[in-house]
Formats: sequence, structure tokens, C-alpha cells
Amino acid sequence: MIKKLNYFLKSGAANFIRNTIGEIKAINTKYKTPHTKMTKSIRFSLIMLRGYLIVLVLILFYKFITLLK
Amino acid sequence: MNLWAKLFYGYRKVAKAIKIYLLIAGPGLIVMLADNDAGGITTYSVTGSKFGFNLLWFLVLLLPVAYFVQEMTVRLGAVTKRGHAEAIFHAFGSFWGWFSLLDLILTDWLTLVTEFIGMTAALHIFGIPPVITIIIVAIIMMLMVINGSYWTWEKIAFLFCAVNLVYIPAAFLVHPSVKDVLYNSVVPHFPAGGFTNEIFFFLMANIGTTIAPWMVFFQQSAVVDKGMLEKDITWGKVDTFIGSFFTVLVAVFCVVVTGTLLYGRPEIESAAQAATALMAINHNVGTLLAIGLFDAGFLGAICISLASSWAFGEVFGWAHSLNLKIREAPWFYASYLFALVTAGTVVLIPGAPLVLITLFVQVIAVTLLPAALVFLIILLNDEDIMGKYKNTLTQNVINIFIVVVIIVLSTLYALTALFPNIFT
Repeated sequence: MIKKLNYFLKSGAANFIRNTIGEIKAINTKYKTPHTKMTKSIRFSLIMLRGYLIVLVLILFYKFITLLK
Repeated sequence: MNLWAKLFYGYRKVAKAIKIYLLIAGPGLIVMLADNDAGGITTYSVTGSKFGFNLLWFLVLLLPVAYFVQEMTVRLGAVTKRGHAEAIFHAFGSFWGWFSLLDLILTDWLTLVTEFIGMTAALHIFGIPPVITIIIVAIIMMLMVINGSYWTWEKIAFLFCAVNLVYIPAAFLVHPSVKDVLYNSVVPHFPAGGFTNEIFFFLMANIGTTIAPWMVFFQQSAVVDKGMLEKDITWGKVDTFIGSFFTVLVAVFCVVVTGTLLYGRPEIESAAQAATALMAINHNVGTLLAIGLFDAGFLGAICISLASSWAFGEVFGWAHSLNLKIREAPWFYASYLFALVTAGTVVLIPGAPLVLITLFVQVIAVTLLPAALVFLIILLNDEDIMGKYKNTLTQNVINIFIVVVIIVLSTLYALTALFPNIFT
């Protein structure tokens, strides 16, 4: 009984993970190419956004490190 | 045409307009009143007790800010029939899509925890233990969605929106000086002592409560789920404007209540503390504030958990509509329940870092808000997507100005939350 339950849980979890990975891959393929026209101003905005987020993450990381100390 | 015929014609016209509005009303009104969530009510209560009526003018200024940002989601949802998460995936690809989705889920979940903190604190004032509050709230929230009808959910949400207006009678009960309220609402100024770091922090906090990332995602998804079309955009805008008006009205009346009775009490640091302190001065007003805090947390919770479930459903392609039964959209309702139960459970864990979570919400929200707003502006300028509903030059000037100000101030707010002495 326990063996069967263990098998059921293991195979269920394995299926769930496999399905989720499959779904994520499908989503990545579906949205591989951006559909908006990448004009200069849009490219600039996205680069600025990336820079902003990197700085913010670095600040958060610094805060985390100083909290640990 | 005689006078009676003219009056009758006018009456019919107005009655028809109201009828149409009542059919379309919903997403704008609900999102705006839910914007006055537990965190919002805490900010307003503390603003009133620290600065009296002195910052009322700033709250009035937030009306156009809230309207212009949220109005864009109405147009985008009605034209594309896509929620914001799906629109980002489609327009900007999977990198920005995953970033927005995962950040939204994290921000929403953390905010949901703060809503539960607010609700449990409010009902604790009436002697109700947190565990009972969380169980009751989770049951009501599930009952609201399981009947498989967006219309029913919306009408129940309207009831809770109406309760959000309790601050208006509460303000009348404290008999504030109407002259002072009006003066402080229209004349920009700072309290005696001038512009200080503390005032700056509260200005940023008030902006932070006015525009939150979940609002953008929620309203766009709600517009799609309600089935609004291009022809409904005008009424959707009216709905959003009325919602913005009420959100500012509630904020002003909340500040009036605490500003009248608690001004000069710097020890007040939460809405629950304000409600308890008010009970000692005027029991009815304190009770109304506590009821309002619970309702604010509840409204926030129903919208935030839906925003996440809609976003998940849009991206993963699961059935994701309140018009579907549980067996028709199991993952949609499962994710809704999962968010509710886990956020509620965290509040019940003894010694859970709730203060840290509250602080973290402000910081994590700032990582998502600029991206969500920048994407919104870019999408609204894409003629291929929006056609004749794309932003006009005037709308762009106003919206870009608002978005830049929000990004700068919310970033400074997050930095101040992380490093309290950064500007001293």
C-alpha cells in the first residue's frame, strides 16, 4: 500500500514537473519574438529599464549582505 | 418643444446614460477603491495623525495621477482583449514576460500578506482571534468566486466598495473645521517647520499607495473578463474617473478623521493603532475606522489574488475567467485559493517576520512598477496594436510626466525604506 502510494506520489510529482517544463518551453517558443516594433526609443527605454533593474537588484543584494553582517 | 417635453427628454437622456454606466461600471470603481487597501488606510491614518490636514492638497493632486495611469489599461484591455501579463509576453517577448509575471506573483503575494495583517489587526480590536478572521475571510472570498459569474462577483465587490466609504460619516462625526479642510485641500503648503525628510517620506508613501503594480494588471484583466469592447471605452473611462474621485475622497476623509482627533500624536504608526486610540476619544469613530480597515484589507485581497490568477491563466493558457465554474477552470481557482491560504497562514505563524514583509513589499513593488508602466506607455503608442485608440500627444506628455515622477519617487521611497537614514 505504502509502496503504491509512494509510486503514485513520485510519478504524480514527476508528471507535474515534466508538464510544467513542457508548458514553459511552449510559452517560450510562442513568445520568442517580440511583436512590438523595436524603434530606437523603445530599445533605449528597454535598455534603461534593464540598467535600472540591475542597479536595484545590486542595492537589494548589498542590503542583504549588510543585514547578514 | 414645450418646457415639460424638454425636461422629460433630458430626464430620459440622463436615465439612459446612468443605465449604460451601471452596465459598464465595475473594473475602474473596484480597482480604485481597492487601492485604498490596508496599507493605504495605514498611510492615510498616520499622515493625518502626524501632519493634520496639511497634506490634503497632495492627496487631491493624486486624482489625475490615478486616473491617467489606469485609463490606459481600459483602452489596452478593450482593444487587445488581453490582460497586461499576456500583452507584455506578446509585445516584448518571453524575457520581459517572465520577469513581469514572476515579479507580479511575488509582489501580489507579499501584498496579500499585508492585507491579512490589516484585516486581523482590525478584527482583533473587536476581540476576534486572527485564526477566525483568516478562516472567515478565506471562506467568503471563495464563496464570491465559485458561482461562476463575473457579474455576481462584481456586485458583491460593490457592496464592500460601499463599506469603504465609512470614513465619510466618520469624518462628519468628528466635526472638523470645514474651512480648514477646504483651505488645506486646495492650497499647496507644508506644515510649520517646512519640508522635512519625514514629509518627503510620507509624500512618497502616499504616491506608493495610489499606484501599485497589481492595479495595472487587475484592471486590464477585469476589463477583458467583463467583455468590454472598443465602444465601451468612453464609459470605462468614466468608471475609472469616478473610481479615482472616490479613492481620493476616501483618502481625504480618512486623513480628516485622524487629523482632527489624533493630530500631534506621533506615536501612531498604523491604522489599527489609530482606531484603538480613536475608540478612547470617540467610540463610534474608532469602530468605523476599524471596520474600514478590515474592509480595505478585504477589498485589496480580493483584487490582488485575482490579479495573480488572471495573469497566470493568461500566460499558461489555462481557462481563466470568473464566468467559468471550478471544474471548467480548475487551475485558475486553485491558484486563487493557494495564494489566499498561504498568505493567511504566514500571518498566523508565531514570530513570522511581518514587519520585514511589509518593508519588502515596498521594495519589490518598485522593481515591477517602472517596468509595468513603461510597457503600458509603449503598448499604448503602438499603432498596430491600438489603432485609433493609441495615445495622443497630450496623453503622452501627461502620462510620460506622471510615469517618470512615479518611478523617481517610488524608487526614492524604496531606498528610504531600505536605508532609513539615507537622506539625513
